[in-house]
Amino acid sequence: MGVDDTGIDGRREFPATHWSVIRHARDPASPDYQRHLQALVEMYWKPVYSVIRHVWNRGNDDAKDLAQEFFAEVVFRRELPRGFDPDRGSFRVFLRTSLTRFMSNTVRDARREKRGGGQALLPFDDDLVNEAEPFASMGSTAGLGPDQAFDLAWNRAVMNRAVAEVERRLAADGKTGGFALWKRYDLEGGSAELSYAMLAREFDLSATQVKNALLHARGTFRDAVTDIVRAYVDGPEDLAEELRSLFLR
Amino acid sequence: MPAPNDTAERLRRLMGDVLDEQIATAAVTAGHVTQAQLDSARQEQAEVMGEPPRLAAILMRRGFLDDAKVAALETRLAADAFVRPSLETTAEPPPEVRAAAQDPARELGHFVLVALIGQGGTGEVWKAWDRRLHRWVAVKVSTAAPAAGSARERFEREALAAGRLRHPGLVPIHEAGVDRGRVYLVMPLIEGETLETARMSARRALEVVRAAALAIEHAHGQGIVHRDLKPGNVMVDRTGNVYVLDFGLVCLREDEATQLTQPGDVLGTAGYMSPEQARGEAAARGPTTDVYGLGATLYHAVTGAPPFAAPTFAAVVERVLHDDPVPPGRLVPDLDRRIEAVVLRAMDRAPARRYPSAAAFAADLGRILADEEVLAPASGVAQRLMRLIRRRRGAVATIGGVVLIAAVVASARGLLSAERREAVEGLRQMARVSLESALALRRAGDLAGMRRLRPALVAAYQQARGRGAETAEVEYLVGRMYRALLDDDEALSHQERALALDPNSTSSLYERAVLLSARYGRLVDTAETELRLREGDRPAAETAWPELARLRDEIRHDLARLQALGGPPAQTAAAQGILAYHEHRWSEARVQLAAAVAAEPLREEAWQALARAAESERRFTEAEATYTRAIELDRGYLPHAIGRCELRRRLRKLTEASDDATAVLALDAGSVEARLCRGATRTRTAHDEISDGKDPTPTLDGAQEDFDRALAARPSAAAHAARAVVHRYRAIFAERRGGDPFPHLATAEHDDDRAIALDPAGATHWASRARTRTRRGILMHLEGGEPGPTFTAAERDFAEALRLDGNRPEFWAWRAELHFYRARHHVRTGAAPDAEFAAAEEDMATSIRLYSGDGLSYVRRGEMRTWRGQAVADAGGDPLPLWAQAREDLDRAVHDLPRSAEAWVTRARLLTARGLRLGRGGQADLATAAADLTRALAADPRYAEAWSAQGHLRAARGDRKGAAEDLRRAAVLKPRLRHAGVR
Repeated sequence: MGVDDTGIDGRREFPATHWSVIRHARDPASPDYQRHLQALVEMYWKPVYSVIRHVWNRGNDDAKDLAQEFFAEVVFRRELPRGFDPDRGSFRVFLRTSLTRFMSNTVRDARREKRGGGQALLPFDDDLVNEAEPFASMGSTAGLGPDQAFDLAWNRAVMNRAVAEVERRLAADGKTGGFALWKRYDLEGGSAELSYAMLAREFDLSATQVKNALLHARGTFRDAVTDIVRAYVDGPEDLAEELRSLFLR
Repeated sequence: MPAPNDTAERLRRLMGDVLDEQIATAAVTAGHVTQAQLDSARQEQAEVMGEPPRLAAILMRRGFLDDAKVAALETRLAADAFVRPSLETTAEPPPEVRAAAQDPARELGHFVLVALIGQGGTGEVWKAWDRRLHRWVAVKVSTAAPAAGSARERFEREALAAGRLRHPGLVPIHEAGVDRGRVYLVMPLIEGETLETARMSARRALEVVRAAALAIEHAHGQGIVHRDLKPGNVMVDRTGNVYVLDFGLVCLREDEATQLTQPGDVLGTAGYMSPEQARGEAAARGPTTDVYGLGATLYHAVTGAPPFAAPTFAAVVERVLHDDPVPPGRLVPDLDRRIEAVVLRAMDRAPARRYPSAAAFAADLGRILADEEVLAPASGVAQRLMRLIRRRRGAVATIGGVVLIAAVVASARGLLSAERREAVEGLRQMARVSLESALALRRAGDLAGMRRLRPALVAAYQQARGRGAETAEVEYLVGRMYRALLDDDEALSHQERALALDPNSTSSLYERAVLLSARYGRLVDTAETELRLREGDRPAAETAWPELARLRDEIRHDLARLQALGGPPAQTAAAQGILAYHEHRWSEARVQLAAAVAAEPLREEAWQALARAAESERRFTEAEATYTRAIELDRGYLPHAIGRCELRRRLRKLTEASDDATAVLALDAGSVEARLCRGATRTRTAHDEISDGKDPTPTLDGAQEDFDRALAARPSAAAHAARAVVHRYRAIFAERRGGDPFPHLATAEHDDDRAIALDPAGATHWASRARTRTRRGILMHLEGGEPGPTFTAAERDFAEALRLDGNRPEFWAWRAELHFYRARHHVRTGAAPDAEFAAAEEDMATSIRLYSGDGLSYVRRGEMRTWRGQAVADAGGDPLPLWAQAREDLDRAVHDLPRSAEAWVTRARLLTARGLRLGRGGQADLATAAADLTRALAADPRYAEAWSAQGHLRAARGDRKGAAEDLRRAAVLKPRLRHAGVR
């Protein structure tokens, strides 16, 4: 299944958690740290890129450069070494916050440049570092704020990976048919139009078999998503919080 | 095939449904919801058209679940998922597994025994690697003789029957096996601490043992008895889940008799064994044996010692059979007597007199946790108050007793009629008992219970006064009682009366000093916030606010007199420490107060002064730790928590600060101080959110609610001023999001008006309204409107603020901003801007003078002068004198901030403008500008403005190629710069 293959090879293991290794690392230079970071970045480069591209309205090359700069300079060199705010529990929230700040600064700097005609005045506000910079227009294309758009893109990355993973796991159990069934019902069908009976006819199974196969596939899906999310959180509490905020709100 | 967006969204919802289903099912397992209730919820869900509600939402709406329960279930499920091995793991086993596997003795079935994590009478527990499923497990290996044939089959059958028990508090058994004669059981590896080693409060111990009891009850329902309950078998994992370990392992034992012959290592178990087990009776197979084990486990958890200890195994058994355990209350004097009663009933030597079931035992623990009477002992309502006191007797006696005796001695002079004497005696008794009760309840965090004592106090006081017993002692006692009840104002008025009746009452002198000292502390917090002082800068606060200096003098006066009169010794150390604090001898104060609290850990005023002294010495970590310790000792003494909230807020530990205030509000929803602290904390959080590009609206809503409620309880200028900031932040955020900021500014101004009306002498309030108006004017200017009248109104406010307090550098800097924007407006409308530019400069100069040595101020003024010069040049005048002054400012700026790329770039821009204007004579300026930019880029090579400025400079000097390269780099760093381009 060739679902959008940025960073997906469908074979990578899920170590206990990449994020906890990074978050609690004593030595960011260690190969272990680098490996875990690399794994997360490969996986989540795409949401960052697509938010810069679509929410902040950058051209394709520009967005790639900015995404590159964001990871190389902001994430690796500036934010990660600075330690973590406990409120920014998961890698997702960490990236999202850092990205919003990075892009706001980029926009602000550009605008300041424009207004001052190359002679920017310092912002004059002790309450806030910078003055009015409406970025609503930036997000208006999608009608979403940067945070929402980011989470949407993130969800897309997680789901792409999860579908590939469900397929792989079911195939490993010799249940290729189960995947086809699940795909038909939950991915393409839109369950309103499809009944178990129709599926049973289509796949030449009994209705009970259909029901059991779907139940199993959904369980596999749940485990796959949980495993994917688990890799970028720090512990069970963070996992619960992350699942809640991604799927239950 | 890229997944279409709607598929991703559909899958997201599917995942939500699956999780919801999982939570609902777990709610049934946990006993929150019955299967029938869940089915009914499902039915409702199925009947809804369109987007169906979540099961959890339905169950919450119907009152079966609440947020806390759902959160607990979610965390629990997540914890399960977290330890579950990933199915596809193909990774190499961890290195320690490979190392252990070198030793053939560590191989057991398809497990590698990696580390020994426990050892007991019946076997060893290992952390082991499961080679087949690639996961960590716990393997218990029996040291008993290998079972054979049918005995072995029975073992496996029974072990697995026990292991199949499904309950969150029971550890399932994955498998049982025999390898080379070794019998073993495999369980999930749970990492945590058992009650044998874990340290916890009595309350937490109750919760843990109660959870264990409920798990045991479940097993009993399946006909399975544990028979080896002890602290080492109750484990709490990292997320606080409680597990009963070793369930079903009883079948690993050959029989009770063999066990009794085990040497040494079963000693631990023997101390928790029921008498009938020790005798090897059949009754030992009943549930009451586990009730005994639970009681013995709770005994250990609250006392830290086993119920029976003796040097040899036989001696332990002897004691189990014939002795009663030492009552836990004798080992822990302030133990809640109800806990003792429950433990002793559970451990009764006669099984029939114990709780009939683990559930009944758990129910009584639940009653203690809900602060209800237990069923364990016969109890009369009349005993309740005394029990309450006894609960904390050890602690209360020190302070309450000593203080009261001192009071009695102090006022024994003067003759009283018999009736009056009787009334005084009655009040004395009353005050003594209720003071002890109040303090005990407060320390346990039960403020509602504490406040229930107030009417009795008021009645006794009125009765005493009605009989003409107006004595200093009566007033002192009542005042002391009010201080315990956290009503400082009422307390102070009684102590004033006491001192009017007897100016030499040492107790009242001390009390008054303590009360004034608390008031001083609250005022200092406000002053530091309002005056933006450095944290802990008491001398500056006292200079700025005469009220503080006055309070300090009164306190010193009282304490000095107290020293001369020689007050009761218990107070002396604390009094001296508090005096030293108010005389700014902080390190001395810390030493004395630390000694005072070491001697008397329950003297809250000493803790408070200790924390404040540490703050004044800028030992913030120590101050915070001091508050933390004080709060542990006296949960209900709200000033500690509020003090910590204020400290943390100013230290920018915003989450913790907010939690402190929330904790106070949970105890006392009417606490205005907590509202103000939390509101201010949230405001600051919103500030950070805006800076981070987040939506601060929910946080601002929270802050506003806090201020609303604080104002509803007690209108104050400070709260109005604080709420005005909330509105200003809303305005700023609206501006950024393209919304309409003006309504928010109008609301802010309304609060500013109220603050000024309540406290017209408060310079801050005038300055605040001036800022609100300035901001409105700036917005009008930026939107192309006419800000003139608004700026004028702002200017009037500034004038008043500066008349009231002309020494605040930020007022001047803010007014400079007003003038600066007015000048810019003039530039746009073609009016002469120079006077406004000059006024802005002058204000900045004043600000700089008051705030000496801030490089950033020079950057700002230098930049203002650069603009002003440009305006002069545009009007055909000579900008050079102004630019010379700008140069001075910026020279100073780069000198003060040599590592600030911004400072260097600002000077470079001035010099570029001037160099170009001077033409051939400007070469030196241009060269310096180039050098400045080199410095700027050395300080921050990623500073796009520096590359851009360098590009413009090079273009001006004819280096087109270099310019193009610089501008390209600037554009890479900040892509928007590309549009600025070379002109």
